[in-house]
Amino acid sequence: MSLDPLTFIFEILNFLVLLWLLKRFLYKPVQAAINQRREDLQKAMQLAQQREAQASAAMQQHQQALQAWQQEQARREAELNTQLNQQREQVMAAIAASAEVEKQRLNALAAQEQKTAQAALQHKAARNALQLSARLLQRVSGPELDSLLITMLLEDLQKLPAQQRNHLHDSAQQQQGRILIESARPLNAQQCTALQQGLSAQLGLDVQCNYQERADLISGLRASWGADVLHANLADELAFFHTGLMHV
Amino acid sequence: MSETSGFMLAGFYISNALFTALCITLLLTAGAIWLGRYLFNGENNLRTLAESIYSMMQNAVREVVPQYYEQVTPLIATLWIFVVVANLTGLIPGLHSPTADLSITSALAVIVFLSVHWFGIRHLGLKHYLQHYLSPSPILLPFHLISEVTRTLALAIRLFGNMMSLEMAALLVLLVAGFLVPVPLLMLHIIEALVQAYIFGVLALLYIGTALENNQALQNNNSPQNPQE
Repeated sequence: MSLDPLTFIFEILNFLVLLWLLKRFLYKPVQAAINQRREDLQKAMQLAQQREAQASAAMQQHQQALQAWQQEQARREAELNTQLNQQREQVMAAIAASAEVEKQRLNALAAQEQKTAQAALQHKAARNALQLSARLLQRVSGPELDSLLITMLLEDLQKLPAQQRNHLHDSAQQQQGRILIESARPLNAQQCTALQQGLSAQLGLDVQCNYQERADLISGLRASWGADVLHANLADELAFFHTGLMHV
Repeated sequence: MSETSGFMLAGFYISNALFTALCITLLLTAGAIWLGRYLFNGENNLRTLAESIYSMMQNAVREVVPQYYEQVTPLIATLWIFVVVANLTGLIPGLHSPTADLSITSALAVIVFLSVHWFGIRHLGLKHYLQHYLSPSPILLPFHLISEVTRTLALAIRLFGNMMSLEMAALLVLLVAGFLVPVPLLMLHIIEALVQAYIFGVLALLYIGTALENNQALQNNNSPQNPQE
């Protein structure tokens, strides 16, 4: 173990040369590569930050668009609800109007039906009344009622206006005073006399009565000459009454 | 050992250790040139490995001298690389580690010694740098001077002693036990080579860091804006 000065000095020079060479050919390129990598990393980091900022901006823009879309959706939904309410109200009003019209129509129809039913009921009641009256009058009919009806006929003729009485006179005169008397039962002499005298007095000429019996007249008589007919019997009165009821 | 062997070249006696050190220098230079060109051929594993190793060494230096790591890193990195390669050269049959030669380790220690003063004077100035030998008291000046010499000697002898003893132990085991028996010892040689290189570089870094730290302390003490005053 000894110290060789030459080796010592050469080793110092050798190391210094090695230091310079490594610094020149190794450390500087490595440092440059490291710096380049750092720059690349920094650029990549800046690019990433830039992209992150862009992504954040895009995200924010997307959120704003989404928010605007939601607001638009809410607005359109409200508008649609308003339109639907208006349409519903209109439809309900139309339905109500239609229902009112239908109600009125049904009411009118019901009133008509009620009126028809009432009329039918009245007709039925009238028929029943007529039938009942006819049966009743058939039971009460008799010579007394015939006399009463003859008296009524003569009184009614007397109450006729002069014009009508003249017309009856003219038509009787055209028939030469021949009058057909139809009665429900044969008239007695007193009744015939009273009738002939009364007619002659009211018509202003002598009349000649021809008597016929018609049981369907129930009671009373029917006097006819030419086109004129005088009704003084219950059958015709009931028929008049029935006709009058039918026209009510 | 190795200092007894060598050859004459142009009237100079070239020891085997020096020759091996020169060869290592040539080899490292060739490798550096090749690697420097290879670095910029795009991304590759070698570039990543080179950048990682250099960054690791740079970070180690930065932790000790954060303000001057760019100036100090080349020296410390070169020390680590050279000492590692020199230590591992002993594993090659027929070759000896240059660091098993006291002249080589002494040269390296002297370089470290000079580097400490070089960085100190460069960053503080000669006057202020020399003042730290008188701090905290001028009485400590002899101790500072003795410390400078002894730590340089320790640096040289530590590396020399470890590497020489390793080679001698391997040689003795090989002579006594025979072939393949010293293999575990050679494995230990690898670990020891790495550890000794690391220790040598770290000690050099600490010495330089101490000098620069003293400079920083002196600068702070001389600064009128120093809040500690």
